[in-house]
Amino acid sequence: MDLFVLLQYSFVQQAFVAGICVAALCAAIGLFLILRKMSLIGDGLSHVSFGAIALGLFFGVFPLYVALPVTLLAAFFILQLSQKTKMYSDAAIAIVSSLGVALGVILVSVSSGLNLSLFSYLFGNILTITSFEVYCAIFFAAATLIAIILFYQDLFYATFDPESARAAGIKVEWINLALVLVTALTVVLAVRMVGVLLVSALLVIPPVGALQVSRGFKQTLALSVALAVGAMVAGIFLSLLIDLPTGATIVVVNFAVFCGILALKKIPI
Amino acid sequence: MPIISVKNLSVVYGQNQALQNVSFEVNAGDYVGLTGPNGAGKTTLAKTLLGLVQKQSGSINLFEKDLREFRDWRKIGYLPQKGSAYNSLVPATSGEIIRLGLLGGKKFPKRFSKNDLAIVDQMLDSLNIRDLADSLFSELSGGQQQRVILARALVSNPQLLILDEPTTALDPKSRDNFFSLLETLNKENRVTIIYITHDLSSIGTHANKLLYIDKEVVYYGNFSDFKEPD
Repeated sequence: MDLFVLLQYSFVQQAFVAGICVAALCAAIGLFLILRKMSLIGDGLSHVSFGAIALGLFFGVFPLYVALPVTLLAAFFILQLSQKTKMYSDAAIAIVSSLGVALGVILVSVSSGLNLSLFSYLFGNILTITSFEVYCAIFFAAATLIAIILFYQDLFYATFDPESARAAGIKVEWINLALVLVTALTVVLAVRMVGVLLVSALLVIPPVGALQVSRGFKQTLALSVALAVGAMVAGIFLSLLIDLPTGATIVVVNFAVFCGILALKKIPI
Repeated sequence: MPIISVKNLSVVYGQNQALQNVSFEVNAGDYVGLTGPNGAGKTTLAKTLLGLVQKQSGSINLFEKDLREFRDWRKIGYLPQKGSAYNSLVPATSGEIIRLGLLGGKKFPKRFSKNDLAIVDQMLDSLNIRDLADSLFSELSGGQQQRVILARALVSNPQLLILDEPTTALDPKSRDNFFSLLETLNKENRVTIIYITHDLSSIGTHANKLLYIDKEVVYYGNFSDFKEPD
């Protein structure tokens, strides 16, 4: 198949634009999550979005309209659980995540004809996204990346040493809240593209790869975004070229890049 | 002028009374050694002064302003207990970390000027850690990390330094250098210093006041007049 011919199609162009936006977004947010030991929040929130999507399908409402507020609420709840109770954030994520999946499974079991629609959200398909979703991805990625640039020093300080950041007058609690809410929005956006099951790969693999080789926080952030965008473009191309599921191919390419970094650093696994 | 004024301060963690009716004043230029047994509330007191721990009752004034209204954080340098606060996994260079000490007085959007970078350079020189500027913090030894964090606390040229067990990771030579630096800051720049330690003798050698607490103030005054409780 001629890739240059494929690039003439608007659905392919849309996939690249939205994919690049979501990849950059996930990589930037993911770095802050990993360093706060919240790598699994993407996984947890995507499971919640699964339950919310099932709810939307069950009541005949556009699933993402339900997934968005429910996932935002879940993110807020995870933060509250981990801050107000004697529990690490991974335990809070596990609780909320399993509840999301459980509700989804119950809704699937009591309804008929839901399975097929839900299946498409489990694995996503970046080639079928709408123009509206592309505009959402562009707007949200641009807004988030600008916010990261503007609040970079506060974010960096709150990640490295939250206590001293507070002592310097930085509103660390607000930063934490903003971070989990942006993660929730990112997850809902990314679910349409790579699916519920693969979202966390976009949040985790590029930043972890960048962490292996970077020297300096800014450099790590930039490299994480670059790796994610590169893997996204390569993954979409590869999936078109050899006719593979796009979301899964993107994740495999990300993993291959990560393995390449480990090999370059001569880290034995 | 009292830099710190604490009146009837009480702090509770769940069911545990961490501090009870603590009152004292620290004046400009004081060099206070804060000590007490394990669990006496030393770190809690330091954190409460910085607004990191909520008080149950009482009042705290910093630079004659109520803590709730105090915003001039650049006047205060804080060195947390080693390893208790900072995230060593963050891939930051020492230079990036030291610059963070200048954030306290900045307004949005926070950016560093050439002058800020020059100040950081001076700090690297004065603590003799210029060679560490581009090194990853996570790759430094415990003592080197401590010096970087100290540089972050000092870089804003603070009027008050709060140091929580600052010498635990330092070898004897670095410890001597550290204390002579504190002495210079205190005597020549009139920087007010509160440092938490378990080492009573070091307070006698370096500080001019001793604050001994065990959930409440047991003693506050000159070291020479102090008799250690049984």
